[in-house]
Amino acid sequence: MQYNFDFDYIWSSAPALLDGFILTVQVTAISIVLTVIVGVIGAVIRVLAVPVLSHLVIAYVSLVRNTPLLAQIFFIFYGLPSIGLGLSIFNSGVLALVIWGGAYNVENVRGGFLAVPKGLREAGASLGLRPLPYMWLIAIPLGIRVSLPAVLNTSVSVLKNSAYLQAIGLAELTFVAMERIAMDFRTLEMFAAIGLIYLGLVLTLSILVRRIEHVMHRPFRG
Amino acid sequence: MPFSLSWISRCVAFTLALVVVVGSASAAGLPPVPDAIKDAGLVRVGTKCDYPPYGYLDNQGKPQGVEVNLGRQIAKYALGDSSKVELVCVTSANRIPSLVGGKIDVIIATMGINAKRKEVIDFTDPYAWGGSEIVVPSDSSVKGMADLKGKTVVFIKGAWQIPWFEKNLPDVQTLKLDSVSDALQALLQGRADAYAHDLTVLAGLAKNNKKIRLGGEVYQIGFTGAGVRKGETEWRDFVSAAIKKAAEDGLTAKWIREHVEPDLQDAVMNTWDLDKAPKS
Amino acid sequence: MDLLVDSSGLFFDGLVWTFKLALLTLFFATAISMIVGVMSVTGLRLLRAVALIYVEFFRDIPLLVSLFFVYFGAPLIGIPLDPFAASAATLSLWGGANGAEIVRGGFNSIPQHQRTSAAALGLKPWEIYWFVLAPQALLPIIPPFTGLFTLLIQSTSLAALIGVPEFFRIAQIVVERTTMIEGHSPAFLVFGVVLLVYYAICSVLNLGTRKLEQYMHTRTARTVVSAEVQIIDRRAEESV
Repeated sequence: MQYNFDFDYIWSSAPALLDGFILTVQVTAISIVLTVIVGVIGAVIRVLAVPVLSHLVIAYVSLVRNTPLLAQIFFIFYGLPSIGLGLSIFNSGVLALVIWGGAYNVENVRGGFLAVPKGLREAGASLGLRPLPYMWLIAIPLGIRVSLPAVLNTSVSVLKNSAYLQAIGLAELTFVAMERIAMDFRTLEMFAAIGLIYLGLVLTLSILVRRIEHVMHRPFRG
Repeated sequence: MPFSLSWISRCVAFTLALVVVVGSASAAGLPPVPDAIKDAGLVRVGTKCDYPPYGYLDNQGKPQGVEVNLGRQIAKYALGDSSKVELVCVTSANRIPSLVGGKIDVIIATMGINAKRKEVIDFTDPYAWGGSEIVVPSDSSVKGMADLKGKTVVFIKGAWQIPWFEKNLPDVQTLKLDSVSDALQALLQGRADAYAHDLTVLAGLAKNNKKIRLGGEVYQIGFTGAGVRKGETEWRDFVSAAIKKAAEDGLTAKWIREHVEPDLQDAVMNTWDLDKAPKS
Repeated sequence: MDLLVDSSGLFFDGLVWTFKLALLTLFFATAISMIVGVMSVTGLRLLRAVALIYVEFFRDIPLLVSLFFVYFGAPLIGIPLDPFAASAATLSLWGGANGAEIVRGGFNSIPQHQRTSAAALGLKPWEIYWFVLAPQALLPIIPPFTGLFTLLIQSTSLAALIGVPEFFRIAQIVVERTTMIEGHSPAFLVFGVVLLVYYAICSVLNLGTRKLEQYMHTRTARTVVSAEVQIIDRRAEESV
């Protein structure tokens, strides 16, 4: 089948793609920050074995990790309004991504805490540190360094999964591409364009990851 | 010798033969079926699955509707059997990519004829006409199209109301979703102030749902046609003729009575009669 | 609730499609993971490069975009693919890319001296992989592979977006029909049940692999991998 790849079409779609790109970056950035917060809080709850809350956290993580993100998104966007919790498209999207990414981050950060040698907890206790100050001054800084690769990996996943939000009408990058295809039928051009953009975004984020890791490990080198 | 037995019998034989030939020609009356279709033994038809009364899914998840029946009838005309059809659900967004990509052989999916689409596919002769409308919540303050300035309107991706609004009402916020029910839910949940689509489907929705009503102003009269891949003129001529034949044989009217609400039947019948289209 | 009972036949058909897609995908993804994973740890630079490019391509682009790309793009270069085939192909390739990373992590977690000792004993390269490295790599890759398998089963829901009549698509259809014809949306109930069903399926899978892990643990004398390696392995299991 003949197909003429039209480069000019990509240039002429650039403004629309740029709008989509900006929205992707916005929703991803906000979601990543919130997922880290959720992850740390959840991990602290688990590690301190807070009575009721840590069971809730276990259930939350288990539920999110064993169900498809797409189903979670549809549940939040279409299901919640019928019990009165209607959110805008952007907010629904952020909520879905944060719930999903937060669950994975709870495990990531918890893994980081577990890697902190037990001896430090005892040493801290013998110096008079209560659990929470110990967490804040010792466990969290050390734990974050260990869990950083995993946390940032989950963040890259949040970036990629932002594409799912096109199904609820968020005009992010993939949505813009699908919409242009619906109007002008230039399938290969659009997918090639957004494929490259996502590749670029992920590689940029990965390089950022590696730089941050490098900097954070400086005290431990040498 | 006039009136000898052999002469009469030859006349009778000739007349009979003439009757048979003429009779079968007018019973077929259709252009030839392309070899590609005959070899495939199957007609793959793309229809809507979320657009009553033209294409929708019944309780068993099987496609039903006026256009779905039309698709089955085309298979019957082409291959002699209405079950030699594969009905594929398409949306406004993916119907043309599906056709161009070879997943279906013909689009019969409430597709309006416009210049942009003509660049990519070939249309048959129009088989229906229709207008666009909007639905709003029953208690909405929107009385006409002008009231939509600055408001949010939800569309279906790929529908031709979108370019119309871009041209005539650029001051609306657009929300584009994948399916009729997504758009309806968005409207009901307050994510949009209005939902713009074809009058036929909106009339059906408004009838079934007290919470919404039609906006009241019909715009963008257009014609609906079936679509085939560019250059497949033989197939296009066949489909055009087959659709006309179904109408002539009263089948289209039968299907409309079968699938359309009683109150809306006359209105829908009108839209399938091209003579009744408003001259704009 | 009646809605669910009435549509239970439809839902069951959907589950059958989901299982078919999932089984096919799991099988091919595992096969690809093994092959590409080994390729990425060989001494040959060319093989490593090819493996790297393949893995980066499928792991850096959203799975959804790959799926649309394959479904809409393949016919344009002459390969007609129906929705099911396109989904199976894309999910397998994606699963293979992620699985390859897990396999690579598994091989890398084996102490280097195993490889050098085996070579010192005169084993040929393929023998080293088959008799020494692979058996040791098997245990550490089970937990991350479980995660990958659950992700793959969940990712079959994406096939709904290109029309495969699997479980999630059926749920969408039921919600759409009810919304249009009865005017109210059963989304909370239907999608809630969908989440529970997927949860049940994945929980069963998790239980199964935990049993497998315990069994293999008792059969091998390897020390438990350190937390650090576990975290690195976890890298691969949750990228979607």
